Amino acid sequence: MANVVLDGVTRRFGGGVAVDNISLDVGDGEFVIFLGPSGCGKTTTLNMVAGLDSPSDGEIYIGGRAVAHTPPDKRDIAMVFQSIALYPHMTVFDNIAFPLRRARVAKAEIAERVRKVAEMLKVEPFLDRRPHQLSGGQRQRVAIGRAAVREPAVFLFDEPLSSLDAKLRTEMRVELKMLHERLGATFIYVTHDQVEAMTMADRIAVMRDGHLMQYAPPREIYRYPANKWVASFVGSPAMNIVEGRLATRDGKAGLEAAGGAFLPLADGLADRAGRAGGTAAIGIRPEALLVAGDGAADGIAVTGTVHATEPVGSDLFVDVRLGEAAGGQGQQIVKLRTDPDRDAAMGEPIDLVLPHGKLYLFDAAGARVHPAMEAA
Amino acid sequence: MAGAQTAALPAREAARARQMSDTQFALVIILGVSLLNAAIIFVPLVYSAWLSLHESNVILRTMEFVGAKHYWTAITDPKVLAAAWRSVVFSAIAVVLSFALSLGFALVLNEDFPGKGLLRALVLLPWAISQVVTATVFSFMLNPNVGALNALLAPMGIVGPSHVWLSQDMALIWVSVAFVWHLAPLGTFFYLASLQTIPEDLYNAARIDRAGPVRRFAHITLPHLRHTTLIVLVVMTVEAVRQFDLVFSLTRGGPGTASQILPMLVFRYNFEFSQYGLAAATSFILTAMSVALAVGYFLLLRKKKVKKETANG
Amino acid sequence: MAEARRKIAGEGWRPWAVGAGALFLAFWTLFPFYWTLKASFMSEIDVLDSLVGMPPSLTLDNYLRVLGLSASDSIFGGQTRAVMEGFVNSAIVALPSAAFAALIASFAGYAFGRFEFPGKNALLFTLLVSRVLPPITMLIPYFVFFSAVGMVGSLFGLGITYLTAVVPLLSWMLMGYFASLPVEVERAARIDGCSRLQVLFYVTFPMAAPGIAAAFIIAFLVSWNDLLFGIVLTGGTNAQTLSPALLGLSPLMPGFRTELVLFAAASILSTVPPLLLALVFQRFITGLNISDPVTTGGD
Repeated sequence: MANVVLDGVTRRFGGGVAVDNISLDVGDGEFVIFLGPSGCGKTTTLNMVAGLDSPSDGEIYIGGRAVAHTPPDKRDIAMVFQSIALYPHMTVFDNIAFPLRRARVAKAEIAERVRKVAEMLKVEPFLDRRPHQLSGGQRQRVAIGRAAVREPAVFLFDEPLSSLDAKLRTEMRVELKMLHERLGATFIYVTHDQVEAMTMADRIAVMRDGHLMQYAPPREIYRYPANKWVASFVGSPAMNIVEGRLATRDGKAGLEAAGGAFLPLADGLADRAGRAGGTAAIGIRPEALLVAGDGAADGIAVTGTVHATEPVGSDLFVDVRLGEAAGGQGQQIVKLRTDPDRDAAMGEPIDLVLPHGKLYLFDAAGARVHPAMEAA
Repeated sequence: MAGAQTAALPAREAARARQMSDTQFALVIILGVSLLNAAIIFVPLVYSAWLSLHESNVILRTMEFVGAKHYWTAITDPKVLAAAWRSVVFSAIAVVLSFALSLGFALVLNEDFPGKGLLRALVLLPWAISQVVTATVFSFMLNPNVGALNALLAPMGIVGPSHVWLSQDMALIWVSVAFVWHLAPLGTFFYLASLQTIPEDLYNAARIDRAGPVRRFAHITLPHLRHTTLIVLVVMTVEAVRQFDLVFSLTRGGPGTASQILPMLVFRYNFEFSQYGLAAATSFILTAMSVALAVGYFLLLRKKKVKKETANG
Repeated sequence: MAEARRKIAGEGWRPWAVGAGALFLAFWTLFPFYWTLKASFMSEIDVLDSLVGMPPSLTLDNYLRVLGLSASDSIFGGQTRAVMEGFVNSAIVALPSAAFAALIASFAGYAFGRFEFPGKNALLFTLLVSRVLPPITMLIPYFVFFSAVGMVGSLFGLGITYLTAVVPLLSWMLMGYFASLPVEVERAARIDGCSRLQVLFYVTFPMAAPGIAAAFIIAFLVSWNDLLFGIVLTGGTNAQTLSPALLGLSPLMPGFRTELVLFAAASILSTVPPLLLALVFQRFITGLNISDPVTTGGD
């Protein structure tokens, strides 16, 4: 078991920078997930940790050893690929045994370890079969087995569940988490699926365009996103972001949303986001938005018009256009989660409340200025 | 962190030396292969070039440097020009006919019917056998005395009883036809592989849009095959231009010189007249023809690749 | 991957068109063979009468004589023995040279198909030129050289000349094939502890087996069917290969006259190995992706 440290890791390609000066540390036995949209550099970073690619700058340490220029097979890591990448011409047994054979482990010991791993991953009945005879989920388990049998210090996963169907994915998430508990190894896992990240990770490294946006436990990222991009990326459905300018109306400071609606802010709050006239944004999660009259709530009152409704059985999602019905162009739309029995028809006026306690405020650069994180 | 960094530096240098990059690995392989190719292909070519600059006398065992004399002779010799022309005619007939046949065959073989596998193996047969056998097989058909064609057609009055098919006028044509029989399977193979990559859904969508088979062929099949057609045409032309075995076996360039294509002439210069230098020079002219074709193909396809990338990029 | 034959309304004529096409294909391919095949089972006298129509009797004698198993004597016994020797000599040359060429071409195809490196375009061009060289161009220097050092009549020398034709061809073919193999399997092998060479031998080449087999078969056919190099470098010697031996029986060759029927039988026999290989190769067609490397490489 080992920890992993990335120190100023950068990867430049002919045209640009894929990974820009990323520094983070993964503790021994931790389950860390690199999360981000396609092209954010997460897989490139993982490949550098694996040794399939070399950084242009910076250093990578595994268990205290600098490994940026060590070949992959000398780094004590194992990797599970998105495309599963089993050896098609070998049986399941040979696939799992392959790394041990390359390491010149004794034949008897190989058989023992392979069986143990196959049992753990429930692929024992398939040991004599070839990969093309197995289902996708079974193949992925064999791939994990091939990694696990080496008992490496660090496990690397490159979107391993993307090629599985939705139901299988949920099952495998649970199994992977259990595997992590059981092995106690360090896991570094790459995905674009924020649900996977939120449910499995000890800490999430959110990446965008090669930059590290935030590196924190899932709850912290959810409660205290570092900026409005992270805020809208994590959480499903996404957080509502209302863009606008800081202005004063009727003596109250607040946000003049694009499209006309005015959201007054609590005293002193507007100042934190910048000077009057500057751009800012308010964030509020769909489940936090309330319809006026639904219980007392202390918050910003806004009128709007129902734009669309999405009944999903357990909830009703309502898209609301902020501002008067005959308001200006470019009215912003927020999504509200509410009771499935509520009546809401398209075009109807609706009054919303944004509770103060659930409000987020972002400055012109997108950084979160409210709420401030509580001291641990 | 800084301390850890400086401590890691010497380790990093050593590690860098140990690991070979991907590029270096590829270059090692390429170096080995290139050395082999240089030894077996390019050294002999250089030697041949040297030969082409000398006049050799086998009896007297002398080699006399004559510079570009042979090249000049070759370019101006009416025998060479005639042979080159015959090569052009031969290739044109062979390629056009082979191309048409191979496309047709591939379309048929792409369908599903009983005995498909057997027929696919069968279609390869003319290409898989030696060209001596091809010559045998056609000679049995074309033989004026006991040949099958005469025996079939003469009673019907189409031709005379001992019609000579491989005559002065027709020899080149018939040799082309025999070569088509041999060459078409190659194109069939390329086209068949390409046809099988066309997704069925394209045709289904077209069928729903009420497009008949002719329109489906013109708008779905043909565009997909454009790339393959270029490859097929070039490969076939190169094969036709450098072809030797079949002509030698069937007519030996005859009757007279009626079917003497350029490789045949080179052969005669070298082995019948022992004029090594002249043969070498003429062979380089022949090579130039082949290479020009291939280079044209290379450039044409590189341009297409660039176009493709800018379209997608 | 058998697809169920669909009945599409309004296109009932299609099966007929396909059937007609298939029949024409079969006819076109087999018609020329038919006559030779027939002649090989007839006796010389019957053939001289006419090939058309049913012969009075069929005989296996010709085949037996070619194989050297016949009781009946033949003035031309020497010629038919040459055919059997030709079989053996061709096998001795074709198998090793095809195997060696397939090995070299696999390495070259892998390097060209997987990697980018400086000078790749120049080398690709060189490969292309090698591939389109007319065989006669290569033959002249080899002949002159072999004559000078007394290597005419050497199967080893012949084998080397086959390499000149076959290595560029196979490298070109295999390039596209290796590029189409999944690269992550190779990465997995690297992480599992393989050096780059080990990846090649334990993973890449086994995965590429169908393609390499097809390449080997093509190389074998080129060597087996070759006439030009064989006749020049081994014609008339102990090492004479099959095609020159067959040609020696041909009535088209000036001089030595032999029986047409023997020639027919020998020719048919010589097609047996290629026929078997064609049957095998046909199955590999769909597996072998020989899309052109120039445009698909590095897409």
